[in-house]
Amino acid sequence: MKTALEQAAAVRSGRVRATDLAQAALARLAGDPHVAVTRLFPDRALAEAARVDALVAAGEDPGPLAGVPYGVKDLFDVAGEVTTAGSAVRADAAPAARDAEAVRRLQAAGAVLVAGLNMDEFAYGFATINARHGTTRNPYDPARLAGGSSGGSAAVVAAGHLAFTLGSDTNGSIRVPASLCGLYGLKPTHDDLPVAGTFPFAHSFDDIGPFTAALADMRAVWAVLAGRDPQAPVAEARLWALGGRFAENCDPAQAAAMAAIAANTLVLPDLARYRSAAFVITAFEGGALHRADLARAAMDYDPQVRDRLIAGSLLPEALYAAAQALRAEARAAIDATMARHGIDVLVAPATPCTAPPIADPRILIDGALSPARADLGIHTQPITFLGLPSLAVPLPRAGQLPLGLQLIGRRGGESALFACAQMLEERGVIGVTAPGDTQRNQE
Amino acid sequence: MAEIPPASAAEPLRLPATADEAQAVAAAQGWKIPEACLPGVVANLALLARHSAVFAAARHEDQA
Repeated sequence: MKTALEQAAAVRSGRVRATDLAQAALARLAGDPHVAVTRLFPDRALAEAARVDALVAAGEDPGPLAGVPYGVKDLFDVAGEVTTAGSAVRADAAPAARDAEAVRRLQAAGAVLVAGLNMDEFAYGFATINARHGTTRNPYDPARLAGGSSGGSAAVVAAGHLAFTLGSDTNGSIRVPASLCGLYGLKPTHDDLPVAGTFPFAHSFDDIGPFTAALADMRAVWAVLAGRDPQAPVAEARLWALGGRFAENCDPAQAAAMAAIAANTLVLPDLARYRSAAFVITAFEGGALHRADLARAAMDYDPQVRDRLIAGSLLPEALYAAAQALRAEARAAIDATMARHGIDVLVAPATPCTAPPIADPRILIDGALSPARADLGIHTQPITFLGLPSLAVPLPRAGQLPLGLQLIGRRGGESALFACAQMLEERGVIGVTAPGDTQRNQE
Repeated sequence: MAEIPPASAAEPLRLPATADEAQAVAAAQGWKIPEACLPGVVANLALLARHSAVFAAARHEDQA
C-alpha cells in the first residue's frame, strides 16, 4: 500500500487515475475478511474520483489528498445515507441531508470516500463487538480483537486496504485500536477538529481523528481537517513519562521504550479519580442522549450497550456536576504542571496489553481479569479527562502483536506531537512494522 | 519525579442500587425500564457506584 501522500502525488502528476485508485480500493474492501466494512459507496466514490481526474486533465490542482480513497466510522454523516452509529435502533432514521464537516473538508482536499466502517454500537466500547455487524477482527491475528470503538477504521488501514480512515475518540476509541493494530491514531485537542455531522456519544469528550500507517499521512490529514499546517518546532521536545498506574499496567516493551526516551517521570496522584470521573460523565451524557430512544425501543439495542446506557440515564445530576468540577480542577492542574516543568510531551502506554483473543476478551488490570470491552481504555480515558491531544504511535514489533504508546501534548500542541514522533521514528523507537515481519500472514 | 497536587474531595452520592430503585428513578423521568434489562442495569449501577466512590475520595491509594 502506497501512502496517502504518494497516491496523491501520483494522481496530481497524472501518472495514476483517481478512478483506478477508487475501483481498486472498492475491490479490496469488498473482499475484506475482518468484519471491518459495513457499507461501500461505489457511486459516490466513482463520481468523486471522476471529478478529481477531470481537474487533473484540466491542469487544475484537486488538493493535497487528490484521489486518495478513505473510509469513515459509521457515525459520520454521508449525504443520502442513514447514519446508523452501528445500531439497528437507527436503521430507519432519515438519511443525512449533508456530509459531516470533516467529510466535506476531505472532499475539498481531493480525497475520495469509499466506505463506512464497523464500530461498537453508539461507540460505547473498546472492542468493536457489534451485535448487528459482528466483531471486527485484527488483521495481525484474526482470532483477536481489533480494539474499538473505531475498530473497522483501524482494521482496514492495518490490512492495507486504505491509507487513511477517520474514527472518533471519546475515551480512547481511536488510540486503543491504533495500539492493537500497530497504527498512528490521533485524539486531537478536545473540540479542535470538526465534530459537526457526527453522531455524538458524550459531548464533553467527543472528538474525531485519523488513522494512518505513515506519520507523514497523519500530518497531512490532520492539516486538512484542522485547516492549518503543523508549526515547525522551535526546539527538540522535552519528554516526560507518566508513572504510577500507567507504569504498573503495561507491557515490558512499552516500559523499555518509555525509559529510553524520557528521563523524568510525572505522577498524577488522582489518576484513578480521573478515570472514574470520566466513566461517570460518559455514562451520564450517553444515558441522557439516549433516554428517549431507550423509552421507545430499548429492546432494539445491543443488550450490553443498552444496560450501560440505561444505568447512565439514572445517575443523579449532582454526581455529574461533581465529576465535571473535578475535571475543571484536573485540567487546570495539568496545564500548570506541564508549563512549570517545561514539559512538551508526556509519554504513556496506549493500551495495557496486546490485542486480547475474541474467544476470551478479558485483560489483566491491577492483577485481576477485567472485560476488555470496558477496560481497554484504562490509559486513554484519563487523558481524555484532561482534554489533551494524544497521538498513539506504534512500537516496532517484528514477529509480535502490535502495541503502542501515547504521545500526549499540551492543549493545542499537535505540532509538537508530530515533531516528537518524527524524532522517535528516526531513532527507531517507534514505527509501523512491515506486514511480512508480523503475524499478519497467519490468516 | 514530580507530582501534581491532588484535587478536592467530594461527598459520595448514593445511586439507585436495586431494580425497584432503578424503576423509581425511571418512573420519575416518565418511562419504565423493560424487566429483561433490570439485571444488567443493576450490575452497571453497581459499577458506576464503585467509580463514584473512587472519584469522590480525597486521594486514591495508587498515589506515588
